[in-house]
Formats: sequence, C-alpha cells, structure tokens
Amino acid sequence: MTGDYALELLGVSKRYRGFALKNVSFSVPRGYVCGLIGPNGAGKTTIIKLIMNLVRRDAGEIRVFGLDNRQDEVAVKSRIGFVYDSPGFWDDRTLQAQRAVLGPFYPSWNDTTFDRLAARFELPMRQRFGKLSRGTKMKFALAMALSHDADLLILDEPTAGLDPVFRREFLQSLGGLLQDEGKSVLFSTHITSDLDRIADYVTFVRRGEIAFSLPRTDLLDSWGILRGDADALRGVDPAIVRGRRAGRFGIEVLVSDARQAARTAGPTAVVDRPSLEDVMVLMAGEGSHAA
Amino acid sequence: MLRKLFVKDLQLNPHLFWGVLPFFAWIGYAVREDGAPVGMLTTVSALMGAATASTVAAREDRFHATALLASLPVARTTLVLSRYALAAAAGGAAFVTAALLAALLPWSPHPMSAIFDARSVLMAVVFVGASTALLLPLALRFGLVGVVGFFAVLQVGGVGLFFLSSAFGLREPMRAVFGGVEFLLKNLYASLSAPGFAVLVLAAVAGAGWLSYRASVWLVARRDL
Repeated sequence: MTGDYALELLGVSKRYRGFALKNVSFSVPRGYVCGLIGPNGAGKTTIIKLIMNLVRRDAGEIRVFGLDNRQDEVAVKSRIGFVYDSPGFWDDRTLQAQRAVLGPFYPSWNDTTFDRLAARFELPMRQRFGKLSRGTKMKFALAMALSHDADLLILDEPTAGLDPVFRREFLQSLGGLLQDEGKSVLFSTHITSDLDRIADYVTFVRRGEIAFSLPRTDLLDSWGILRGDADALRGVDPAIVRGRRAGRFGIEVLVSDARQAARTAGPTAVVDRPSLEDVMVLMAGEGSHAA
Repeated sequence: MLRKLFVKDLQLNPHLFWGVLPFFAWIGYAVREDGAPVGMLTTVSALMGAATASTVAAREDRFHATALLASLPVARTTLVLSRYALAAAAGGAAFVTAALLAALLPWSPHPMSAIFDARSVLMAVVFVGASTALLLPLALRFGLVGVVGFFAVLQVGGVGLFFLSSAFGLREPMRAVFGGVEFLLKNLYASLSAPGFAVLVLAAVAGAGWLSYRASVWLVARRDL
C-alpha cells in the first residue's frame, strides 16, 4: 500500500443473500482512468458502494489516497467526486437550489467551475430535478462531482440508458475534463465501447470476483481471439485460455497470450486482436470457461 | 457542519415548514375563546414541528437522496445528530410560535404567564422527546416505510385494542382507551408541579433521547444503501 495509488482494494468481501463479492483486489494509480466492466449483476455497483462506504464490507481493506475509507471517511469523501447510476437528488427542487445547498459541504467547492460546467452542459438551473431527462440529470450529477476539485472521480454506469449521440457527447466532455486536469477515475460500465477512448486500465468483474485488472493496451496487444475448428485449437495451452464460445462456423477462444496461441494452434486457426466487448462476451458469456 | 445540514433541510424541504402555517392560522382563530385548550394547542404544535425531522428523512428516502447524502463529506453520526437537533429546534420553534400567537393576538384572553408556565413547557418537552425517540430511528433506518409503518402499527394496534375490548365485553371501548390516555395525561400534567417528579421526567426523556440517538447511530451505520 503506497501513496502512489488513488484507490486500492485488498481482499474485499461482501455477502448478500444470493450474491457474494469475493476477495476483490485491484488498484487505480494516481492520474489514470480505470474502467470497471462486467455483465449486469456482476458486482460493479457493489464495489463502488463499498468504496463510498454506502455498504459495509465484511472483510478486506479499502484505501483512497492512502487513507482508510471508513476511519477517514470525511477526508476521503471530500476528495471524491461521485456520480451514482441513478442520481438521487430532490425531485421537487431546482438545480440552482440543490447546487447552493450541497456545494458548500465540500471544502474546495468552486462556484466558478460549476458555472462553467453548467454552461458547457447547458443545464437548466431553474428547472426541477424531477422534470429533467436522464441525460440532463447525469450532466448535473457530473457537474456537481467535478466542481469541488475532486482528485478521484467515481462514476457508476454514467452512460447506461443514454442515447448514443448523448453518450458520445458525455464521454467527450468527460475526456476533455480529464485531459485538462489529470484526475484519477474509476468508471463502471457494461458498455465496453465507452472505455475505448478514455480507459488506461480495465478491471473485469465476473460473478462477484475480479477476473483480471490490466492496462488496456497490454490487454488488447497481448490477448487474442483464436478462431478455428476443434482440431486446429487442440494444441493451445489451456493455461492461457480465458474464455470460449462455440459458433456456427467453429470455435472462438479468448487467450491471454496471442503469440503463443498462434504458434501452438493448427495452421487453419486465425488469431485476431480482441475488442473489450469480445473480452467481456467471451469471458462472461454462455459457455465460457476461464482459465 | 450542523449548520450546513440545517440549511440543507430548510432549503430543500421548505413546504414542510410552510405547511404548518394553516395550523397556526387555526390556532390564531381558536384562542379567541376563554376556554380554548391552549396547553394542548402548543403541545400539538411542538409535536408537529418535531415530526418534520422524520418527514425530511422520509422524503430523502423517497427521492433516493439518502445515498447522495451519505456520499457527502459528513460523518454518519453527524447526519444522525442533525436529525435530532432538527426535531428539537423545529419542535421548540413551533411551540414558541403557537404560544406567542396565543399570548399576543389582541383577541386572545389568555395571559402570557398561563401559556409559558413551566408545566406546559415540560409537557411539550415530554411529547417531543418521546415521539422523536420513537420515530426517528425508524425513519433513519427504514425511511418512508419506517414512518408509514409506525403509524400503520399504531392504527392496527388501535383497531386490535378495539376488538379485544369488545371481546371482553367492554362497552364503548374507544372511550375507555381515550379516557385512559386522558387520565394519564392529566395526572402527568398535575404531577409535573412537583419539582422532584419534573426532574425525574426530564431525566427519563433525556435518557430515552440518548438511547434513541445511540440506536439510530448503530442502525444507520449498518444500513446498506
């Protein structure tokens, strides 16, 4: 555990009836963007709630900039900008009223920053929160999260339910802000294309466990999808197989070492560079069996 | 931090506080008569004021704003403390408003000394303390469901008591229940003139409030949002 990390989770567990988060460990270095991906119900939101101390962990350790998220709760939360997957503000109050009341809770709240973001996001400050579209609600939540000079942004499925045009605009806004200010970000999503532009690290959650946590470029450069028939794939080392899917025209196998797989597979097999979506589908999809 | 939490509650829930104005208007009208139950009116006002703390918590739960609040850089114990402080402040403010109306309105025949007497104030403190101690832990732990559930249990309990009384052949069971409550309250009011008893009651209310606060802190700390 060092101060080089914005966020560190070590052996974190949480048990609910019918679902358990088991021994979750990963970290986000300072100044980097980490995408937390996984299918619905994998445990992404639970991980985020644990970091925010909205739910109590059963075991493990969570540190934000080296501080324990429970013992130093106030100091930790003053450094986090948080956007929840369904932002809960007061439906019958205007954005202006909520900004005026909630902003001062943060020691480094900056009205000028908020006004700049509100103008950039075209927020209707005199409207009641409940009257806004989901996209505008998200923009308001993002403006609030970004206006107190937070060092770590935690965004839980901020693009879920947004139309593609707005999603692109949202990500562009976010990307621009991150580039300008060098924040650390944990961004949970099940829409993997969201991460293609902005994520430095990718952490994959599956059935309450961390399947991997890697730099995105390492993942996409070294992993591969091997396509071929069963005979062609027979020689591939099972230790590098991370997922598998049978299709109409053969078998697709996700491997964590594309070069080794290319050497050992039969001549009819083809190795392709995977997308994040391929990785998620093959690791989480029906019939997968990770190594 | 408590001041910021107060401002938040006042500014994000203004209609809860303005909503009691018609009641105060009615008090202004009711106190014109010599026999108006001023003590009861001020106590009910204090109760209504104190109940806003639970209503504020229930509203936050309804708008799913509880998680947002818990994500602010505020300790959960401070959040809980602010609810108790709000109940006390709003209850006190409502009591004073009702009492001032009764004392200062030109058509009110009630003298200031009769309204602000120690026993009336103590009765209000007992009611506010007891209701807050009962209701707030439920509102903070279970939100809107807790508040509604509390009154539902009271209602079901009342109906149950009615049937139970009928089953035992008691005539006019509701009158018996309300008569019993009235008897208790009258006795409590009369006994509060004894300083020793008043101190004992105040200590009991303070103890109940402290236990309720500790229970709320414990419940809120264990609430998964």
